[in-house]
Amino acid sequence: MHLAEGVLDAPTLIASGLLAAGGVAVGLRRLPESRLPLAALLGAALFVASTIHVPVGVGSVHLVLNGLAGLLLGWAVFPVIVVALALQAALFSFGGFAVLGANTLLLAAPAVLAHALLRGALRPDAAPARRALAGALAGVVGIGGAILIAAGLLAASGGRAYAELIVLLAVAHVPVLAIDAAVGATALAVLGRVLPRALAEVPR
Amino acid sequence: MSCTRQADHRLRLAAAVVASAVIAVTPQPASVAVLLAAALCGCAVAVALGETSVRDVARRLLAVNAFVALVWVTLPWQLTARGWVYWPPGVDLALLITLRANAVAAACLALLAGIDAFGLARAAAGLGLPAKLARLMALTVRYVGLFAETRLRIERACRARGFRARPDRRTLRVTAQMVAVLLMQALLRAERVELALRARGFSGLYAAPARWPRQRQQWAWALATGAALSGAWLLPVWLAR
Repeated sequence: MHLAEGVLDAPTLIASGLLAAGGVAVGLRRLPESRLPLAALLGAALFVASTIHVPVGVGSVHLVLNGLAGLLLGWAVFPVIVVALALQAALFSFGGFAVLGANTLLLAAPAVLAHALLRGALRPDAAPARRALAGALAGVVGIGGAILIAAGLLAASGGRAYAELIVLLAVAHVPVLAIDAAVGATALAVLGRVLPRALAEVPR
Repeated sequence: MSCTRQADHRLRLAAAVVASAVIAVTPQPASVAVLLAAALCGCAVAVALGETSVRDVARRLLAVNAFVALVWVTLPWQLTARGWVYWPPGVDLALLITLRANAVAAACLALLAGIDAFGLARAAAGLGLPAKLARLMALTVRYVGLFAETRLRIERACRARGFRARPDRRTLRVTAQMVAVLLMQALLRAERVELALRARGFSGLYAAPARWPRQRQQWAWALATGAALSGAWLLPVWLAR
């Protein structure tokens, strides 16, 4: 889920860039040097997972998994997402450098919220059904939050002119939300069954 | 433009970031159109030099225009008490967004063509990225290739067992299991990497990035790129006088 270059005005770009920079700074401070490889590995795995396309009707949607990333990484999701988005902007032209802050904010902020709300499900003694529910809710919070923040940024930039665009953007992402929730539920349930201890040691 | 190939990666990345920022906030469609034309010329040179291909340029611009299509579906129309009505200012806005999005994508492609992910990570570190973020970027780049191979292996194995992705529950289950396998690999490998780094006496410090280039040629490239960007931006303003 990316906002393209040229859609947001300069004040919105600057404000969202500053907020994202703040989130990245907090994320880096909370990420000890010894946990850097774990954050990079989880970030890389989720980066690759987000390139998987799932058929929906006659088309397909790609996974986003920002909620699952936030659940597993906590505040470290901010630096992990800014790295992933910078690479995507440079290598694939998804998003861009000027809108990097806005895109980081809209994906990472709901991811941190998913972590704050659902991290209890990562404990080794959590019931499998609770883990599956947390995985599904991570998808709902992650994509739902991203839609809300994208809508807020667009409304701040274009006001009434972007009203229809906001509605269309939200409707287009409903299948993404459903798929992310379904995949997150099964993936977290499998992880909890196979590696409960490793799951409990992910960064906080 | 053949100088672009020899230009320091840091200068090229800095130029791409500056060009993106300038284009993203330029309000005059004529200026953005000239910048888009200049960026497309840069892409043509990059294709001629073999740093990218026409197919890659087309694929990237197509990806950019997926969002732009949503803009064209919505902005020229407004829902009023009389139903949907045509709204000319929306067309102007959609045109400006289209020009900006394509100009930024083409400029980044032209300036960064031929630099791989490792080169980008080194260039970003050399541009003053915080040390920890630069290390995170370098490690992420290293592991993305690894997991991409794992993903291809799993997909091949699935295909060999007759799996075809369809809009059904089985596809969702297989996709979720693929994600779980990638995450399991990450968690298990992280433990090994942490132990290996400690065994090598890793102190949390990495070698400093290379010093800035002193050759006049490098700075001449940076000045020429800056002049081209400013010239393309100012030309329509000057012509309109």
